[in-house]
Amino acid sequence: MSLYVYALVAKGPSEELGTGMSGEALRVVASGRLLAVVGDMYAPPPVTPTALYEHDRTIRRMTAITDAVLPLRFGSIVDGELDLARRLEPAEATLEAALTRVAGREQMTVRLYERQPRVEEDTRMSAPPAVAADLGPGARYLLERRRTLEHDPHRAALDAVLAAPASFIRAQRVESHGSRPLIASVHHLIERGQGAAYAAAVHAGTANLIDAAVTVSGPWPPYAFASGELT
Amino acid sequence: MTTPSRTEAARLLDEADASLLDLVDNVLTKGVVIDGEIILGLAGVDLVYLRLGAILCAADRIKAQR
Repeated sequence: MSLYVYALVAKGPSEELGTGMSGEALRVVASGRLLAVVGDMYAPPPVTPTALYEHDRTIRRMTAITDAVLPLRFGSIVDGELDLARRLEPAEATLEAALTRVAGREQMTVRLYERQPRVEEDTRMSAPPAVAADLGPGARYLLERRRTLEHDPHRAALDAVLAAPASFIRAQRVESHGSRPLIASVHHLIERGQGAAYAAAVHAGTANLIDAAVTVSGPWPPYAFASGELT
Repeated sequence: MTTPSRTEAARLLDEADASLLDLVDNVLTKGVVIDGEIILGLAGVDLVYLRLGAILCAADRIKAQR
């Protein structure tokens, strides 16, 4: 029997953990200074919408009953408690710091979409002006980089998304996407209970965007702030 | 394996109130990773970042595993 690992938590929840995505009883396993919420499972569940929702439901349940939750990625299975301890030990300090960062906080996600194709700008970006041949490689790189940023038609929109909820932001992850219409995904860590005010701030701060649209989702457990790898 | 129609895929997305895109992105591409132990049934999580048509394709793939 293997262990499906849902999340790391800072403290053992005082309430009943309930069941996991397959109906298995959840329990907390201690490993060094870390606690992991696990369930017995023979094999990872197939990736279906139901499984994804159940995984998320379980993480949300943990979030509701404890202050700091660091989700593991869907499908995380180890051979048992000893295997889990072996994997957690080298990353203990990093994971503890991550748990401290997410304590009492939740994630909001903003997607920035292109409203309509910008053929002119796209063409300009793919074929930037020629760079002077007498510049060195470093200077050429910096000049090309500056021109690319100057010609990015969505830079102002992204700046608005980042600035509008500034007072709520405790941590930030920004992902740029090369495939339109999605321009960027912005994940913000905010204090719990501030989601509605955060969303209102984003919508107010981006209402005048012409070429881009935004969607706001959340609150989510802090998925985007649970980076790290257990080898 | 039965391939669901595009209409089915669209319906699946419509009914996914929390946004399947956000769910897939968060649950499948975020979180602490256990090296070598992640089983992904999706043929490329980058699918979630493609334009709407491709997103519907991603929904097709998810639905097909039911």
